[in-house]
Amino acid sequence: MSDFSAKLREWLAKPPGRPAFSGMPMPETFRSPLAASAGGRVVNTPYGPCVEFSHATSVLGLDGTDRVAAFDHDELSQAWQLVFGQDLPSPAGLQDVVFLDTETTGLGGAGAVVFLVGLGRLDAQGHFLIRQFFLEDYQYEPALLDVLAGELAGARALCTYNGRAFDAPIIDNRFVLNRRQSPLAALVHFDLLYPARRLYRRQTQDCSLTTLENQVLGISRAGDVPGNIVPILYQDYLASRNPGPMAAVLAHNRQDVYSLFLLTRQLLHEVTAPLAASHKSHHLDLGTLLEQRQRLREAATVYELGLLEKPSGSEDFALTKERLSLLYKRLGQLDKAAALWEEEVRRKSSRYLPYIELAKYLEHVRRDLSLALEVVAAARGHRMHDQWPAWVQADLEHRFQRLARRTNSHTAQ
Amino acid sequence: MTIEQVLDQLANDPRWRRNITHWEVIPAQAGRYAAIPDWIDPRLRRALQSRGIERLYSHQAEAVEAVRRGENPVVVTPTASGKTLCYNLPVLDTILEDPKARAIYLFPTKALSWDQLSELQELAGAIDAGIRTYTYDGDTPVDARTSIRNLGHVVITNPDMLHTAILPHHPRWARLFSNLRYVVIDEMHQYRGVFGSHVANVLRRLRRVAAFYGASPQFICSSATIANPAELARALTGVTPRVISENGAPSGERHLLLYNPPLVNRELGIRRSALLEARQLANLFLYHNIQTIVFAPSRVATEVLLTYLQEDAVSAGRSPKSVRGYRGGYLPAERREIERGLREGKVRGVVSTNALELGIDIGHLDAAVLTGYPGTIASTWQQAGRAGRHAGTSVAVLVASSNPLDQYVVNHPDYLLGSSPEHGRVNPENLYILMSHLTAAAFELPFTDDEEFGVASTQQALAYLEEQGLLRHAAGRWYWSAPAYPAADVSLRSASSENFVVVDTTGSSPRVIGEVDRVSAPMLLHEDAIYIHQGQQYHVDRLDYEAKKAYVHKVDVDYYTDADLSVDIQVLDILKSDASHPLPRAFGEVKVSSLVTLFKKIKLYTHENVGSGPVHLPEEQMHTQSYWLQFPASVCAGLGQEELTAGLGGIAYLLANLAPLYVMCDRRDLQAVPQVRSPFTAVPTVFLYDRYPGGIGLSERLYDLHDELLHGALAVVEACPCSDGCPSCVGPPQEVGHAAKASVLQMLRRVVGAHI
Repeated sequence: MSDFSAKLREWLAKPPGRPAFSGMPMPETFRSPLAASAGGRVVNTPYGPCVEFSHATSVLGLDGTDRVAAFDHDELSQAWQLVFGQDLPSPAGLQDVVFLDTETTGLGGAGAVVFLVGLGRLDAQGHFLIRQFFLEDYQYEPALLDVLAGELAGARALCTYNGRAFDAPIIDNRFVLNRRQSPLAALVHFDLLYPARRLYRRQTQDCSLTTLENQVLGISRAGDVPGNIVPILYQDYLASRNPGPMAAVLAHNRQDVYSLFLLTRQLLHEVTAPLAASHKSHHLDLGTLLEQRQRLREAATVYELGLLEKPSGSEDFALTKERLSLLYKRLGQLDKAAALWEEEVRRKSSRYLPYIELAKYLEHVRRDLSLALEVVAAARGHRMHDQWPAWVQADLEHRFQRLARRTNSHTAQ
Repeated sequence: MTIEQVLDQLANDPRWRRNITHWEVIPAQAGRYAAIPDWIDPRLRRALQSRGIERLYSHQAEAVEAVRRGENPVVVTPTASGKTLCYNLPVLDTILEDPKARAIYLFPTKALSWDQLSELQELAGAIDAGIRTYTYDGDTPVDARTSIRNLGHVVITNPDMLHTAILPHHPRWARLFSNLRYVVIDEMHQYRGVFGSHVANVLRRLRRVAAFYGASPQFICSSATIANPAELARALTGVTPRVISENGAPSGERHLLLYNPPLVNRELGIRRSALLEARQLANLFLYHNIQTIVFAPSRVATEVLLTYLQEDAVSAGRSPKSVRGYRGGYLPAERREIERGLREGKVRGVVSTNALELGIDIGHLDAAVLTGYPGTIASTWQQAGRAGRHAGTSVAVLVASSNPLDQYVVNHPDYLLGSSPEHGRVNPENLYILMSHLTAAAFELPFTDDEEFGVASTQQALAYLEEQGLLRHAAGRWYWSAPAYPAADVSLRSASSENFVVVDTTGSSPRVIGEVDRVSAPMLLHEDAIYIHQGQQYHVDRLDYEAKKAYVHKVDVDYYTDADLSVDIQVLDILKSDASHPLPRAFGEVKVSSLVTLFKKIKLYTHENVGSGPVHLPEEQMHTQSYWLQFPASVCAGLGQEELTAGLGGIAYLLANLAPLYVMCDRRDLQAVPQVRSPFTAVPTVFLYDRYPGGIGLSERLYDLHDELLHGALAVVEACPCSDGCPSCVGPPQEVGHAAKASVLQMLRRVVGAHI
């Protein structure tokens, strides 16, 4: 610390005015080594120059996922609502959604600057176009924001991955700091992180975009830049103007935008074709999502398929059966539900629900009191009985007493 | 008996009378009033009237008019003189006139914020014009934060939140900063020393951010009585203040008694315990139903006194709940309940640490008993000021402990009554502090090439930060250019905020009953300690030092515990030294270690030592910077061991009190330690170290000021009229020894004389 103090004192003793070494000499004309080496171009705005990169990919989905591109407006808005639980602004097609990902100098606060924005959009010909805007140096931020505002002005909806917590606040901050209205305020923002996490969390070790892209989409990135060193690489670029590592950041961002689109398409596909072989979500999660969005028959089909796929006896199997049985009950298909409960009771399931539900069914629907009593008695004598919740034990006790009383009076008559 | 009759008894009953060393009567003062200014919004006027306020005290009117003229008032009037209205009135009036207007209120503690919130909400509620007031601190739920940022008219927070959470995220607070009209700083005197220097820089950042949004807020400050309110306010806020110190609130006759407990052993100079005397005095007042506050010097003392007074209440046929305790570590809800009880008069007595010295609203009490001298003149008046109604007589009794400083104060009434209270000093240009806030400010907004932040050498400092890889200079601006969040690395206060929680395991399910700060935890929560909370004793069964939890259970024993703390200084590195001076000096890094090694069991009521036990806790260490003076044989020649000890003690005392003037810090920011034979230097040595982990540049500066400091020290002692030393020079003789003054003079004259 004395080192700090000595050094600092030395600095403070220097005459005022700009020290000679600091900063790069300002070039007379704008020059971007990254644009030159990575095929970018310089766009001039009233606020100054900005560097742009464009990239187009054809987006065939060999596994059937590209059926999504052919959705008409109704199909798309239904699928979208299923995934996000929120409507696309109408009338909007997939072409009206901008897929956005940013690279920044820090994690947040007024000092975090967006130095690269990638925007992806689907065009009418089925190509996915990615345009990236790069901040050559801090003083060109007004130009970058101007371009970004212009691009977003033509969109209806925004789709990001974790953008609610990360990208959007930083972009909003940058506009405030440049005394401009943020274009995000006029867009409906859909954050794919939340639905993706709901559907895939059981199968993946985490829900980062890179993990899902690998485990759901089967993409593996070669030589990718780890996200946490991206800010450092930008500092290096500013100091050295060596475009090599920055070109890798460009590729990283481009892949993020592209994967964001593919993952969105995957989810739109899965919720609308739950039986397709290409679905990667867990059937329990997909079923729950569909149930929540009132797609009860589709949900039942998903659970039924799950029962076929999962080994019987597994925890998932029992849980799925339970969900399916309750769904049948909700759909009024009591006999189908009862069949599932009966199976479980026969194999002495350690879950309490089948006993209670089957007993209710036997007592109130089939009016077979002695069979109901038998089921309740089996539950009361079950080896797990003492570990079930108190209300379950009380319910069984109460049920037993009543059934016992009623069967006795029957026999008495 | 009325309070007048009780005072008669104190004056006439020899049992009391002989212990009273001074009796000061401060005559009643009639209130001075002014009409509520006619420009005040009628809705606000009606709200005031509905709360029984038909007119203002003169100082309130003065403050309100000063704000109206665009000035920055600093209101310096006693506790409970209606200071909050001085800022609430202009703030609410402005919001009624312009609903976009915003204000930030800063309080030094969360407890004060909550207190203020309820008062402000009541007044705003009475207006019923949709004025929204919120507290914003670490406890604010995340989902409430967005609406507070956008909708809160008044945001009540503390400097730490402003520093780490609000300023670095100012774009989210754009609506507040764009319309920021007022910054209210209550308890301004708390912002002194290193803490104050930090706060001054935080406010500098606030003005810079506000200016970005086109706002230039007025500052309204309030302070306890200090010697230099205008100077402190200017240093903190950067604007020219207007001091308002003529108190217009009426006050009844006030009596201040200095009380010295009787000697129990004349030969050894041992007096009856101040705690036990305070108990008797408090009982005298409480017995006659006089609402009383008792200030105790520590948390343990607070709880011990509370135990006594609650028992005494029971034996006198009163409810034990009529006397309550109050200190940091009680949970907020419990504190609120006690405050309310005091205001409503249900709580007749309260025993408190200095927590109630601050402006928490507990109304006016009749009597105050101060157990021991609080250490500063300003605190003494703050505590005594808790007793004092607008009409009617009140009394404050300062009960001296046998501590030498206390003994001096009660035997020299002029020291307390005649001198001005302490100065509040800050040094916002302290290099360490300035640089950390310059860094934070650069994160918040890019600096321009012609911008200054407190010092003329701002541009060089920015170039230094660029060299450190934090900034980038481009096109005439310094841009933040690092993946870091600088405010997170700087704490405004020295003490860590991680508290230990106390878990009561007596019942079927464990229950958290309180908190203890990190510094006090080893002393109060070591295993086998008796922890006392609201008068109930708990035995500490286990201290989980890592998890910061102490597990206790209720007990009923006849003793309390007191732990011994030993402090040691070890020099790690000498960074500068100068042996050519007649008094060699050095500056370097030191390790200060404090260790609790054993505790004593002290019997209740008799205060006998009835046992002890070991404490096994890790040593608390602090690495910091120190400046030390090495006394060579030539300076100490002719002094016997006792005289040398006294001389070193005197010099340490003197420098500890004098050095803050030279480096503009507070007394508590530096620590002086004399060593008659230092294990490191092998000669008599006095260490002065920064009480901040890592050091904060104070002792480094003192090393540079060596000569000036020694000259100044000699001048103080030579000019002091006392005979054997006093708190104003080398310290009270009972503390440093009767030989101190002569020895100090002899030693310093040799040094200073030799050098000139």
